[in-house]
Amino acid sequence: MRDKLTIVFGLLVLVPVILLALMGAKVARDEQTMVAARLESLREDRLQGLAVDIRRTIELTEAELGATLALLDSNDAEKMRDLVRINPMITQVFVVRTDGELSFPVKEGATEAERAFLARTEAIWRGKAMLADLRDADASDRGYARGDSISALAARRPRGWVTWYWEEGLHLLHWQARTEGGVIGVEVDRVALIARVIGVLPEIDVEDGRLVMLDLRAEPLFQWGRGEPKDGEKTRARRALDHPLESYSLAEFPGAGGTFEETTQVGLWASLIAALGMVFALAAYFHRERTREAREARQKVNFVTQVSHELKTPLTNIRMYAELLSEDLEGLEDTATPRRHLEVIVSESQRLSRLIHNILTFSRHQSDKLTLRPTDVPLRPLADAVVAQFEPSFAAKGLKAEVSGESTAHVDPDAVGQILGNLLSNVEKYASDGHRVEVEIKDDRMEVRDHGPGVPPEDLRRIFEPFVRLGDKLSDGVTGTGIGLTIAGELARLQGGSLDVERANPGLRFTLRFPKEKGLPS
Amino acid sequence: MTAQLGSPVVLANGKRTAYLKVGLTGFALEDDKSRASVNLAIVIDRSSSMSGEKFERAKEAASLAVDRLRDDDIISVVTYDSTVDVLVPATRASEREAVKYKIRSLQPRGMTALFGGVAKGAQEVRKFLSGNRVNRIILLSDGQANIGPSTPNELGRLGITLGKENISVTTLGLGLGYNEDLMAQLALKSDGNHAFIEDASQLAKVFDSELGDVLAVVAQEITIKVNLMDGARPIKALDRDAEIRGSQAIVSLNQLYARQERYFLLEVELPAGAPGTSREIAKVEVSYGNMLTQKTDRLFANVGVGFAASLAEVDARTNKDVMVSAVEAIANERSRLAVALRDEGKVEDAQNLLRDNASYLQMNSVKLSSPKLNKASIMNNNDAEEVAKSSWDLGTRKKMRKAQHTTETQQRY
Amino acid sequence: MKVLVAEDDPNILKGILEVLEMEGYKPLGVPDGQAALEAFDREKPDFVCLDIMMPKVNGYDVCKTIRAKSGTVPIIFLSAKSEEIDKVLGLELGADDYLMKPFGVRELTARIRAVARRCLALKPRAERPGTFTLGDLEVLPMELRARRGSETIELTLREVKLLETFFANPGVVLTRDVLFRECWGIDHFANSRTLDQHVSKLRKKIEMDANVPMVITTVHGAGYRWTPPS
Repeated sequence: MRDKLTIVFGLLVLVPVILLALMGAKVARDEQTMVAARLESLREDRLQGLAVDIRRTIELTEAELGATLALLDSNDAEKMRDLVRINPMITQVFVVRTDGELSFPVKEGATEAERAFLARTEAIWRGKAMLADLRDADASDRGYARGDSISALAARRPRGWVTWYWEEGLHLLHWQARTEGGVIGVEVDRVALIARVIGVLPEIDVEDGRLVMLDLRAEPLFQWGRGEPKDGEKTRARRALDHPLESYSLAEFPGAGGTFEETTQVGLWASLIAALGMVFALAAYFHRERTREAREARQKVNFVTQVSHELKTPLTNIRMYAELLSEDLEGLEDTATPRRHLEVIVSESQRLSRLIHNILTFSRHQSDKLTLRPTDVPLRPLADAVVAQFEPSFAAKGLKAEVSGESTAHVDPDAVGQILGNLLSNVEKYASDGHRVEVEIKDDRMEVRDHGPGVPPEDLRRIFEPFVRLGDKLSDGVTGTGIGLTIAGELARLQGGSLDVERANPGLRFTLRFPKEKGLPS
Repeated sequence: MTAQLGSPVVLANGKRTAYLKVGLTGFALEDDKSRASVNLAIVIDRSSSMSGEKFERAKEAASLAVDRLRDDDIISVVTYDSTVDVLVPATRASEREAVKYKIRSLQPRGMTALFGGVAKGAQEVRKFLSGNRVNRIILLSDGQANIGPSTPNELGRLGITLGKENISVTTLGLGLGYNEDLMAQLALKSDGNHAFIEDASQLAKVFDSELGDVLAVVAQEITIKVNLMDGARPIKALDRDAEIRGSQAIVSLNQLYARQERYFLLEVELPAGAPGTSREIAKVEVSYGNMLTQKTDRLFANVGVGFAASLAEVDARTNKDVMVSAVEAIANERSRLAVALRDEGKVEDAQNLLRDNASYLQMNSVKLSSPKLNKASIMNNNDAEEVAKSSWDLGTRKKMRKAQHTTETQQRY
Repeated sequence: MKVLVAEDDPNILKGILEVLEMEGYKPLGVPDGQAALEAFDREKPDFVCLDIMMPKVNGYDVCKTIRAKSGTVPIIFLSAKSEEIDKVLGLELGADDYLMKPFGVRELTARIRAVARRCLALKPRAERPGTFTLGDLEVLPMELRARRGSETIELTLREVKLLETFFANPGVVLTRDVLFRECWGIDHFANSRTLDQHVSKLRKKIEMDANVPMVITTVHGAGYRWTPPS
């Protein structure tokens, strides 16, 4: 029984735990993907924000250049040269006529710097070579000829950037279309532009990994967060900058140690284990509570057994010594009174014994420890013996018991003895007025009939219930624990028979039916 | 301002070349109170190579510099390793204790984002950028740049762009591990100072000298325009970048310190002239921002040339000062060339060049009675020796760079 | 017949010993299991009565040990443990009977008598007492019974011994001393009360009318006598 309970509890714990674990794993995975997705979008947002910052700086530069250029007279070479000398962003000013020819600088009288400029921009003016203006929607591959000249571009747009690669890196031109036709523009020093962009980059706290602005060769230009590049490291996120620096990009590299995902995992596992622990603890508690009843019941039985053992020892002594005393009276004269006294002692000790037995049986029955062993029992001697036990107390109450009949039944003799004893005890307690009780032994049953006041019909069933004593409301001197009939009935049932009661007018007739045959369940 | 020809008298008949020197000398400053206020950004390399004594000295020197500022000066501190950290955003020097505290608590780590450091430093200076202030970045590094643009060319361009904004970058190279080319370029193009500090204990003194300069700027945004006329033609500027447009040569200097002499040497082609005649061949115009008056001043000078028949007469009239400067400049150019040769591995060629240089200098030192040239000659001979060694690119090269820079910019320390 | 009784309650033990004594056995009492085992080895009793809940060694273990030594010596359990399982266990351990406390004297004597019969049966043929007749009373020592006609009378060992003594001395007046000597043994202190008690009881059993004894007659001042019918 205990084991069954344990198995049930085991299952009760295991099943939800497994379900919980499965669910938890799924939740963890979902959480992880969600967190990863969120992280990724956060990262992308961060990169986006930076890219926007950078673009704004460039737009600002554009605006400043635009303002400067707007004031410039495209025919005043001196002014244009002065501009180069004092403007930190500009390395050269240029002017393109409406017909597409470069009007400034020109080869004749060019300074050294101007000559160098002409050299490196030659291909642009011819409108042929490595020219990439990615604001042009069709230009999908960087750095390859579009065949557009700046003038052609100027026809479509008011201003723009042109980027090309020369010798050591990226070069930039910013041009503006003039209202009077033609184009005026400047070559912007990439280094100056980068320095300015870097100057206004925000400070970003990168706890894990590093955020890097990369040039077209994926070399770092600027870095947030500590850490050095490692071989074969992959970017966590990447975003190219906007035109004209589209060959540059922002990238995020993961850090060395435990990433956020890992910590979440650890956290998840920790909480899962904690939850499991709690479920186990709860189950253990309930199991304990449940088995406590069983344990307590067992303890109670043990106690009762122990107590009954303790009670039996003095009882044995009382009875034995009373009988020995009886022997001592043997052969003496005038021993009638002492004998009678002794009889009382013996009979009472037997009553006590029966009571203990009843209680023991009751408590054992409560915890299902009662088993009967039927065997073939001649009933007459048994009945005689029981009746004999009651002789003294019956005599005191003027009760006469008659035993008749004879048969052998397959019963547990102790049980039948206890039943009969309980019945007779009841007779003595409640039906002594009838002065008679008949014990009839028949083939399949034993009947005990008294001539007492009987019991109202509605109470006939009730008297078998435990702790019920009729008359406990007002009758005085009524004794009894109320379990005698309960036990008798249970015992009768347990051995495969039955115990019934009917009104006998006068009195009651209790019928103890024996089990039909051998092999009936006990 | 002085504007003189090295050979104010040349031989008649036939085109001749002469050196035109435009010299500027800063006036003296009486006291600290009268000087212009300073807008200074100190950019400190805190990459892991800086750890130890170097870093401690650097912090010390920086703190001392902060102490020398007036309360109305602006100070900012930028540190860089792999990432750039604006340690102290541009703030008044009256906050000096807080500034020094932050400097003291620095620890070295990481790689070297030199470009980023300077860019951020420039940004801080821009916050209070003014023609009325001396705007300066002092860069202190012991290493290479490995994050961000790091070629001398790129750093030079950074120097140019900052110079245009009137922000000079002084580069202090600490130890033997830094890239002197890029440090020198950055300083040169922005018209800042450059120093090679071999031993960290020298740092404080150098910083001090630098501060001394910073605090002694008397003129800023100096433009020298030399307009040649009457057949005279500019050939090239000596040992300096200048813009030559037709018959005009323009040179920009960022600042001039009190009692400092800076000059610009232009090789000019002279027209022919009859002996006994003289011609005005150049008009020199100098404009600058006067740091005391906060106004733009202009100086004008005319340069003429005379023609003589005899060489003796020519020689007699030789302007020794100009010639010394010219020789120095030429020798400096040659020294640069020698370094380039040595970099290519042409040790012998470099050596020969240096030795030739030495003799050239020696010859002229005698001719012009110039102890300066004599010293330079000795140095070149030394360099010739050092150049042959395999370790030359550690110490010698840096020394040479620094010397070249000093000569070119007339750096005072 | 030697009986070993092991019981930890001293009163019960004394009571049982008294009863056994009365029945005619030679009882030996021990208060615990260990003493029981020692006494068994030492005294070699004819049968053993064991309490189960005893100190030192419990009754079950004693039974097991004794059974290992002797497969035939009868063992009776006297116990307060009355659960069915205890009884079954006891019987399966080799006990011959299981008596539940509290038991009555009559119950005890009846069970012991049964055991005693078994002991008698175990005796070698030569030692087995034979049946004899006292008048119309047939005495069967082996069964500890007497029969008169269809009536069966249960006898104690002592009573059988008494009858045997009378049978062996027909017509002789047997003094109390003699009877004591014969039936109780030399080492017993003669107590006339005891003898009278026993005779009184015996008469109640075998006489038609105990007040008018025919089989065993009283010889006042001397003793008792059996007169065989002529």
